[in-house]
Amino acid sequence: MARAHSRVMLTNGTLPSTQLNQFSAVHPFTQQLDIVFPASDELEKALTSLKPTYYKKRCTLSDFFEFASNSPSRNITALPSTSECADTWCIDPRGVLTLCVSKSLYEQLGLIGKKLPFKGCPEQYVIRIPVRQETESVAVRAKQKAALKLWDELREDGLGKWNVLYCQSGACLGTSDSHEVVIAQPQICPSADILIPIPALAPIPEESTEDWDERIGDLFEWVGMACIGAQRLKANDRVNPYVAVYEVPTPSYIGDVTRITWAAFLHQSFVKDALDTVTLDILRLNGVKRIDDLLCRSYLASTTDNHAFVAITRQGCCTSPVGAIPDTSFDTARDPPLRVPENNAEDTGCFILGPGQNGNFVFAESIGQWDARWG
Amino acid sequence: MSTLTQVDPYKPLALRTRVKLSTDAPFTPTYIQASLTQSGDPQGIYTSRVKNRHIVLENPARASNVQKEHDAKKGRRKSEKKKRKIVALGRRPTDAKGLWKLENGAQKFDLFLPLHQLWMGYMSELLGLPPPSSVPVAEAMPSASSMHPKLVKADFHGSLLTVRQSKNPCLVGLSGIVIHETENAFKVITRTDQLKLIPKQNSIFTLAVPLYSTLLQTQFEPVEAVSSALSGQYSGTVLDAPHIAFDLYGNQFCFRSADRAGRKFKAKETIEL
Repeated sequence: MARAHSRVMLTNGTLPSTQLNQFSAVHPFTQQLDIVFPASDELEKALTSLKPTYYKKRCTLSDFFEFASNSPSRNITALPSTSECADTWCIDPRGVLTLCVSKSLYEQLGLIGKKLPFKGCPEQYVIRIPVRQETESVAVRAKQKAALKLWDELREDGLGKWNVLYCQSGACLGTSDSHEVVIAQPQICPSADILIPIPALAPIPEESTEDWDERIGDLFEWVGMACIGAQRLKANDRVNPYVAVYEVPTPSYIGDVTRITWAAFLHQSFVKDALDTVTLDILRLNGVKRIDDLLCRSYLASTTDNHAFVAITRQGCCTSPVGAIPDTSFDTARDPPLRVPENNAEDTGCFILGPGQNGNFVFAESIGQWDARWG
Repeated sequence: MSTLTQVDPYKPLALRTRVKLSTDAPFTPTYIQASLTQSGDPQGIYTSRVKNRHIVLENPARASNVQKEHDAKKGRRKSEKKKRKIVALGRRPTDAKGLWKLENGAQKFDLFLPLHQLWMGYMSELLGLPPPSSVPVAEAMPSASSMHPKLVKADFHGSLLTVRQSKNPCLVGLSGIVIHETENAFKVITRTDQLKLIPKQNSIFTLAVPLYSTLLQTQFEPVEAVSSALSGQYSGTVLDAPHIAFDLYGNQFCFRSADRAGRKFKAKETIEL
């Protein structure tokens, strides 16, 4: 159910698609990935072989900023694991530290930022600091570091150090005193005897827009219910109509469904790998990327089952000041759209991919009210 | 008026009489009394009905309303001008005379350090600070409630102010010795020899007051000690010694320093920027 003021955008097309290819790069901060598909052992095996890794560190912001500026890898993605959204920050893969601070903290930091233009939310300001040392003059750099130090001092009495979750592309480091390595484990939930719809992911020529919207809406509703393991999808469900009335979109058949969920700080490279496993032929793409997965071909490209489909749902980290980076040329001169970090915000994207090398797909994105991604 | 014989005052006098004018026996009363031949008491009549009375001989010109307003306005302008003379010089004549302009070579932070030392001495005297090393730092802090009313009326020329919080982020962190305080701004000279004008509105300043007295305690210090103390003094500011930091809310402080001395400050509900 969509909250008031949330907006949904629906696109459809055929593979290969630039939208799918750029999907992981556009959304750097993901906190949950759900993949739902009619049961298939080989796909399950391929997906569970992926191991998303992230690092955990407890330190001050100035220390982490030093660490990020001096780190050889240019691609650090970092976010503090905090439920407090009033004063927060993030480092996105472009190498920009984005602070989102309340009015009183902004007035004390002394850095120039931009006020969030949304109505109805508390007054907040966004400050952007490039992480690489070479881009700023010495005096400006000193001022930025002094401001971060002041923030750490203000936090000393209250919340103390930050619990930072970060990923970096490049060599994986082992656990040491300074940081902890965490490998996110997937949660695999098979469900038997589920009513599975046969999705028709392209609009029928005589179909009106309303009918198309309703049909696709029902399909996404099924995907959402499958993600939470709803009992209504069971073939033998005989619920009292006063409690719930639900019908699976027709045509449908009875079968088994597998849901795999990763709920952790997921790097964009893992999201890309998951998408690739589902859609592309890995061997053809990268030659000898995975020698031990010679038998692992792209599931959808090679499946002979016409009813096969895969639904991938991504939940973004709503507490990060940066939501989506539309311009993926990593041009730091153009700022990503503003949004208010909030625990109950919406930032979800869902792909339903059909079978075949050039199968159809539909993609629905939903964002909350205080997000300037679509104006 | 009598309808009988009237006295004609323009009738020429009889040639025989010679008028002798003297102050002891003025002519007019004598003449009138002599002319009142009909009445029984010419002197009484003269005294009661003639002496010191004015007779309007013809219609004098009355002052018109316009004229009266003009005169009243002129009178008001004159009184206002008199009052205005007491007020201080305005902005334009001050700038024209260059009263608050520093000379070319005078924009140096070090040149104002002695002023800062003087201000510290003034603060020591005003707040009655204890002499140094008499009490350890932890116990030397005087009570804030006694210092606040004195500080509010104090003069801040020569103090070291730092901007702690401000709606304008470029002002945050500015610090310097106040060389001129006006109604709405502080003119400070920073450590990098820059003259900055910091508006009082929308800013919170940090004021540092020395913890110990900076005045020389006795008059009979040996000459070497005095000269060494003096040379050491002029190199440091209030921040180099133990000090007390106060928050100064600029929004509530927009008064001239001379006016502040006599002003009663009331407690406000909110001190948000």
